[in-house]
Formats: sequence, structure tokens, C-alpha cells
Amino acid sequence: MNTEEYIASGILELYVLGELSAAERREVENNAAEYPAVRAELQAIEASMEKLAMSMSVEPPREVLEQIMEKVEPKQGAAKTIHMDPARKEPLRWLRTLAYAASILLFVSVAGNIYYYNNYKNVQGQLADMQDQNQYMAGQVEKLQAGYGKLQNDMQVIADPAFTAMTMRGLPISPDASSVVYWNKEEGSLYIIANNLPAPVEGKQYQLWALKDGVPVDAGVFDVDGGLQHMHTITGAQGFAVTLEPAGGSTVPTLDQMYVIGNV
Amino acid sequence: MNTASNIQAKEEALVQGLQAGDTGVLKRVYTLYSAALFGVITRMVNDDHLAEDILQEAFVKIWNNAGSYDKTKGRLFTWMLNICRNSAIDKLRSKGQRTAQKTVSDETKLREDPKETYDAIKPETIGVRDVVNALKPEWKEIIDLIYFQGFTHVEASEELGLPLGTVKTRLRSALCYLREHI
Repeated sequence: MNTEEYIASGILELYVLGELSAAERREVENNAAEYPAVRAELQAIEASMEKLAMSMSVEPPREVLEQIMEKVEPKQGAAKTIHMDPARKEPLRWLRTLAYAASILLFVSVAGNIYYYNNYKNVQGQLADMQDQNQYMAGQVEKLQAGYGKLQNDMQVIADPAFTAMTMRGLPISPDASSVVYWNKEEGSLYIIANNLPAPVEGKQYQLWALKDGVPVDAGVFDVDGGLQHMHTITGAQGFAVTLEPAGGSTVPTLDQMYVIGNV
Repeated sequence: MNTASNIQAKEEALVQGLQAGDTGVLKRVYTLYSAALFGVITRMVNDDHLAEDILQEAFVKIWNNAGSYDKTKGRLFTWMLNICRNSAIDKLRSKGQRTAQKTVSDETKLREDPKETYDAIKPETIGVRDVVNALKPEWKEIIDLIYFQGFTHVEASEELGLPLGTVKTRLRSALCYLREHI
């Protein structure tokens, strides 16, 4: 073939402009493959077509790109349809497997996170419970310590030889009742322990009386569950009695409400 | 040629990006070539709005059909330019514009030519218009018909009443002249 004549015919320009039929195109492509001069001329025509287009450039409005980008999506599957040769398929299968594996891992990770987050929440709740319990126990210990301190004080009174223990017995109103006073006769220091008195009704309180030459003297009110309680200083008493009085005590005992009585 | 192989390498990277479905590469292609393509489309349809629609449509086609581009059959730009030109030709055909022009008599055509030319002048394209307009009338005519109006060479030979061979060699001469003068 005379390539010069072929080139001069203008068929290559039509080829570049996409003006040829499929058969004509194939012919041009075959010739281009065979003749370097044809190939070179095609490249030159293409370059000049690009230059021509570039020289008449008109900047399109900015929105056009935005509209295009709205219409296109990144195509993950694009590569799949392009590379039809089997050599390229293998890496793609690997890629897909990798993608599956990654999504499974992601799922496991998310599930794990949810599980551990719930655990964390539980532990947080448990910790709060423990803290409450701890605080409660500390309160209890404090109470016990206070109780223990009081008991020790009580024990000192009871063990003190200067004090005389005196049991008051129940009267017909409450035959099983009994209370004990500890009294330092010399100094007048006086304690009572309710021991076994029925709990008073609301608004009532027990009151200790010292019997001095047949006259009851107020020795103070006390609570049934207060352990050893310090009473008023009393000297020269011959006996003691307990009556139930309105809360805060009375100036004279209510005799028909006398629960226990004892003599020195 | 160093620049040629550079261009080739650049195009190859763009093609791979497009075929892999990378929208970032599409943006890059747009930045590099949209003005050149839009210039041709504008010149073809003489309607800015329509030209914008065609450019948009063409780029979506470029994106969707990137897989069918075959570098052994030509450059990426040539492929994209022909997508744009074909889209523009389709629009011209559906508007009936081109057929109308095709069937007018030589006399009417002569009368209409100056107006058409006037409409097509755009400040942005003035440089190339100068070169294209400066072509010998017979060359300008053939470039207008085939390149800008999308006539096939058979249609152009009918339109101009010239043998096919003459249409082809004239087109070649005109493009060779432009190759030297742009």
C-alpha cells in the first residue's frame, strides 16, 4: 500500500472525527497497526484536533461540574465489567473475599463493642451498689463503735466498787418488769438501766423517783432502750421507784402507774 | 518525544482512575478538558443552556462508558470529544436544526450565512474564529459542516455537490492548515 496516498486521502481525519463505518474503522486500525507512518499521522491528527479544541476553550459555568458530580456515583463494580481477561478476575475475587471478611470483622467488632458497653454499664451499676453498701457499712461501724464506747463507759460504772447495784422489782401492774439502778451513795452519782420494762405508749416516758424519808424526789426521765443512763444526783435515799409519766416527766409521781420499786 | 510520552502517561493514569470508578479522577478530567469540550459544543449548538446540558450529559456518558474506552484506538481526548460531538449532533438532529439547514437551497444559504456567522461569534472563541474564519471559504465550509454541524462526509458531499474524495481531501487540507496555524 502507498501510505502517502492513503494518508492524503483524508480517511484518517474522518476516522479521528468518528465519521467512519465499523468496517472502515477496522481497516484504518489494521493499517495503523501495520504501517508506522499511518500510526504517526493518526497521532498527529489527534494532537491537532485536541489543540484546535483547546484553542476554542470556553469555561463552562461552575454549576455544570456540581450537576455532573450529583449524577455520578463512585463505582466499586466498575473494574469488574472492564477487565474481562481471566488473569484480572483472580485479584478481584480476592478483593471481594477481603471485603466480605472486612465486613464480617466490622460486624463482630460492633457486636463486641455493644456487648462490652453493656457489661461496662452493668459494672458501673454494680460499682454504685457497692459504694452504697460500703457507705452503709461505714455507718454501721460508726454506730457500733459508738455503742461499744458507751458499753465500755457503762462497764466502768458497773465495775466501780463505789457504786451499789440495786434491783427494782415489778409491781402488780407489770409483775415481770425489773430495772437496776447503780448508785454512788457517797457522791450521789446515779445511773439506771431499764432492763425489762414494757415499751411506753406514745407520749409517755418512764421517770425514776428517789424515796427520801417517804417523799418521792424526781431523779429524771429515761428511755427503755438507752442502756445505762445517767440520772440526777441523789443522796440520802432509802429506795427508788419508776412510774410512767407524760413525756418529759411530772413533779409528783402518778402512783397507780408505778411499775417497779426497790429498797436500798 | 518526551512530551508525547508524558501526555500518554498522564492520560493512562486518568483512564485507569475513570475505569476504577474514582470520582476524584472524573473531577480532574473535567478540570483539564471541560473548557475545550464546552468550547466545541457551544460552537456547534450556538445555545449556552443547551451546551451546558450536552456537556453534563457527555460527562455522565464518559463516566458510565469509561470501561469501553480502548486506548489502542485513540487518545482519551479524541474519545471524549467524539462523545461530546455525538451528543451535540443528536441534540441538533432532534431540534431539526441541522436537517433544516441541510435542505435549504444554496441561495438561501448564502443569505443566511452572515447572520449565522454573526450569532456564532463569541468573545471567548474569537481567537479560533479568526483562524477558522480566515480559512479559504471552501475549507471553512467543510470544517463547519463536518466538524461543527456533524454532517457525515456522504451528507457533506451531497450538500456541497462534490465527489466524496474531494470532500475528504478538502477536510484534510483544512485540518492540516489549522494544524500549522493554531
